[in-house]
Amino acid sequence: MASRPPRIAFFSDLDGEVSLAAHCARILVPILAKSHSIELFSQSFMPESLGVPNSHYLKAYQRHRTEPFDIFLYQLEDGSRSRFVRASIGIMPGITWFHDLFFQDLGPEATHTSPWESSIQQILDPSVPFPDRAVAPHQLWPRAFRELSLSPVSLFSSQWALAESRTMISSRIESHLGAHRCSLLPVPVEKAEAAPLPARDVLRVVTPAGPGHEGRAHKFLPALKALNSPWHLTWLLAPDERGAAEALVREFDLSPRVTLQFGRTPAAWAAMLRSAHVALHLHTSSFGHLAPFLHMSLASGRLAVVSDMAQGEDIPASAAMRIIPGISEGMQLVHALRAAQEIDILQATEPARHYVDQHHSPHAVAARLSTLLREAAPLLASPMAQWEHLYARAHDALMSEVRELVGGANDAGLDPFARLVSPAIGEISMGAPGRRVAEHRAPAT
Amino acid sequence: MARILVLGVKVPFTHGGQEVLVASLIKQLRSRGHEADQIELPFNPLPKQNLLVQAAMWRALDLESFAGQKIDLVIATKFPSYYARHPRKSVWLVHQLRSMYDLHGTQFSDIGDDPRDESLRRILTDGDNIALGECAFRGAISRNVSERLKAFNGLSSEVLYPPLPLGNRYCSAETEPYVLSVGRICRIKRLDLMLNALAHVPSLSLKVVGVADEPGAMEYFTNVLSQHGLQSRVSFLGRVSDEELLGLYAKATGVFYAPFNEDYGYVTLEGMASGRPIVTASDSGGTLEFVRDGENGLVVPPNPGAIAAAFNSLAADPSLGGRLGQAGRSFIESSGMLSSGWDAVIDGLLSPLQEQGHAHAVGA
Repeated sequence: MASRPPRIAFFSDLDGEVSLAAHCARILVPILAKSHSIELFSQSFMPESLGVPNSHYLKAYQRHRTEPFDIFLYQLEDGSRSRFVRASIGIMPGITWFHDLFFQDLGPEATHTSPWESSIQQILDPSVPFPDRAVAPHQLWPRAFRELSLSPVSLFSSQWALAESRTMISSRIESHLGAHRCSLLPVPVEKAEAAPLPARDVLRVVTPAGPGHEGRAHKFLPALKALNSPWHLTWLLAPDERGAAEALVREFDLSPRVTLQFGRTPAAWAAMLRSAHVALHLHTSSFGHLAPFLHMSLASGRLAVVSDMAQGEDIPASAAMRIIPGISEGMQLVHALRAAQEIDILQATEPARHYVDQHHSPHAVAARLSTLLREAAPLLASPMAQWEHLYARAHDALMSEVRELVGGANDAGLDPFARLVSPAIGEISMGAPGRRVAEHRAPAT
Repeated sequence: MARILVLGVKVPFTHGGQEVLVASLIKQLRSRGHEADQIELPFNPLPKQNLLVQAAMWRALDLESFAGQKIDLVIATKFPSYYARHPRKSVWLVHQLRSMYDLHGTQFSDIGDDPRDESLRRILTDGDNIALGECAFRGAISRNVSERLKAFNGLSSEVLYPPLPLGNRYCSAETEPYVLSVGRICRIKRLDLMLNALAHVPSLSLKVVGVADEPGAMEYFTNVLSQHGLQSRVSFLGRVSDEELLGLYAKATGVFYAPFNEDYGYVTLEGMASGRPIVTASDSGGTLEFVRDGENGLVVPPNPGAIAAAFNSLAADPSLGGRLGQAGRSFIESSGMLSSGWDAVIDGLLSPLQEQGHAHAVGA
């Protein structure tokens, strides 16, 4: 019997201007759609996107009920545009591709009062009752603890994040259900032509760093100033970073030699790289990520300089110049920049292009994801079915609460729940959520 | 002539756009010779499980006849009034239960990922599909509301903008140095944006029409006032008479109206009808169907700095406010919002009477 590809509900931000999730979706969905049945769920009302059907995320359960999905795939990163993804992960566990493990964005309100730990306990033991609504949990996690716990299969776009995640989780549902899986899935980057380098009379440096401490501007600006030969920096920023960046440039008295450019998008970065020799990616924080900008630099034949810390650790020493943050950081940067003026950059960056081509090419990443999806589908079947049964129990619990709410009239010999509420709900609802999908699920073959 | 019931939902001690809309509709129906009356049930959204009871209560009502008199048509307005059953049901949708649709995942929704909440959301979404799907005619008060209905429930609807409640009475007078804010005082209307902005608009005061209808809202806004030492420049006027409201609109330097994803927003149109420039936010939803940045108002990001800049520009350049206000007034005059738009509204809502061959029976 011919096997059918898994049906995938793919939750992702699709605003390609600003988010890494959208960048990845834009590259991967058209490739995956050739061999998988994919439906996108986003905040958009558009009926189609990237060549596949798109629905608002709140309609996912209806689509699941009509044509059950085998996999719920979430793409998660920090920022308000991924809030709906964080909310949705708590509604149906699946595969989550983490671009960030630490959140600066507070996330949707629902995650602050989420009873996810109780839900996991209920999955493991159906006799565990629903928590008392009067005792709402209130937790603000700057870490993706809830999201990791609710993801039976977790993918990470950096080796560093994968390692970090292993130290964070102790009560994952899949560890009890036998479906534990963590894997690396690199960010895809389109192949760039190694454009000719600009003239060497001026060292042209670019960076997409934020102006905060983590972006290391307080290190790279004085390092550039210390160079004896001509140089120019083009600094790509988000519009709301203008004030901080201008203040830094003023502080180091570098105005004529620094150009600020606003709109930190992959397209803008690609254009900047064409007229650069060196790209600085010195971000040192656990918050935020280097992709896809660093990988675009590696692919473009420009000399990349990274911090030997956090996600920078992922990059092989042969592919980028590594700077150890700390006391000697400024001096190391000066040396690196001086070296950039003397070496054959295109030759020196050949290993970087090879590295990106091997690990980050769209077809390589899509093939890897495709394999992971095929392997994950059977692992997810049990947690998803158990979650559906949890919804059936939740439906019954809700009805009990409603019965209690209207039960006051029982003393008068009436049963308004039985006479009024229950028949009306029966008429307007499609039946207990969960039961329907669980009963009609067609197993993937 | 037909016997028509307009179905309203009343949150006790609050007064908002829906009350104005229902009263105006009944008045218009009666002026056309129909026998029209209003059915209201109290609405209590807390605890949230009660939402199911509220929907069921409407569903259980028998509205086909009263005291032997047949009801020809019912016109529902907002959740959960459209759960009422009737063979000829129109809806003029003010809004659905927004906490489970467009407000889901925001700070304005209490629907979380507790499986019981998700179960509740699914039941009521399915219920909306049925209760709204069975309507013989579906109208929506704005394109924003219509698009939500299409996106979330797959149901199409005709956009029927509610004409302004005070018809041709809006006017303008010599400008005085104040900003006017009109509306319920609650978080989603974001009066705090204006209060925080006012600290940076030294030449204008603020007059606020409306009452707080959310626990703690007034205390919160009072705290914001205190933080900036603005007590002497802000007047909370509570509810005011129609005459007073017309006067306040007429003289304002500008009207602030920047709720989050508003359904429609009478205030926008009332301000325009009074020849006043509107300052609204880029995420204010329904207001953006009327306000064009730099043409008949100012559309700014939802932050105090941008709002302050907008009002400072209006205060510094009276001709700017005059030009924007005049363009707004012209738009309102040409759009039928003052009164002539009622014909299209009534024709739409009453269309089930004609379509199903009941024209002969009405009033029998």
